[in-house]
Amino acid sequence: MDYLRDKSFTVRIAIRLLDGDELIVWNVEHTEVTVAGRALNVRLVGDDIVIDAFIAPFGSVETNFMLVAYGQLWVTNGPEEGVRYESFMKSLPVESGERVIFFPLGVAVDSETNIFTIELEIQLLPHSNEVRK
Amino acid sequence: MIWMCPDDATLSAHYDEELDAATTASVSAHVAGCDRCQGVVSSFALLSGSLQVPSLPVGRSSVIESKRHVAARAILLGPTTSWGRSLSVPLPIAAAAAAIILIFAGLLLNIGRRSTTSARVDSGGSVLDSIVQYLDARTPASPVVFNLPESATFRVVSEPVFVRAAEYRQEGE
Repeated sequence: MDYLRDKSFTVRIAIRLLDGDELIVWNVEHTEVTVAGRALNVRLVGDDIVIDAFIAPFGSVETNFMLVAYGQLWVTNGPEEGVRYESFMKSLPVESGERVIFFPLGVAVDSETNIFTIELEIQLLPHSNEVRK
Repeated sequence: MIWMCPDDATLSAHYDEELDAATTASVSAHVAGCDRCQGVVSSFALLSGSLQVPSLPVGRSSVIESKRHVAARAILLGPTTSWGRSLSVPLPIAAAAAAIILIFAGLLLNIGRRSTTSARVDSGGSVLDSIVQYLDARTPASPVVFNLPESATFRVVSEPVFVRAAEYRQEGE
């Protein structure tokens, strides 16, 4: 399947938690391989949150392509507040090797409320280049 | 004299004067004294009158008459079986129908041949099999799961943000 290998992406994901001062308090990195049109499923599970995100590139690995991030999230802040459910879908045209940042909960700007920001930094590279290294 | 009513076919033949002399006399005597048979003969007369064609060319009157007779018999005697009835189709229509049938037959043969060919190509390709296996192995149903730190609090503070890292960090500076 040489033709498929030439159409595949190496996806590098760095998942970080930022505090109110935008300092990184937690970080994990992961690398995955996918092909254009096929989504990578990343699930973040916490005590009171579940984020089920899909990241999919569309287009050619050799030129600009469209990166789509979509999914669902569930957040609960105690039994009295119930569960909040949201769905999302965002897209961005990117170049091969360009880094993009995805904030599934938005960006917390109030540093006094001790709320963490979840950040996903995503980079897509041609898989054929990664194999040759 | 006939005591029982003759059937309608006999009455029709009697009306058309097709019976022999003795039978004619017997039927006539019966009709004269039978209301039912008089009604049947009257209906023959009415039908005959409605089928009359005035000023016929010479030689056609006998043909028209025989056709009227056949029509009258068919109406009064009811439907007959169509077994053995021949159907005449004009030659141009028959030729057109035959051509259409041949064209459709040819198309069906070609379609069958093409589908056989394509099936042969699909079944011979192991490339597709390996691709299907690859897709099954890479199903998105198996997520990569990350457990977030315990006791960390999260809120949905705004719409999700999707931005180029260079633009985001440049704005932050």
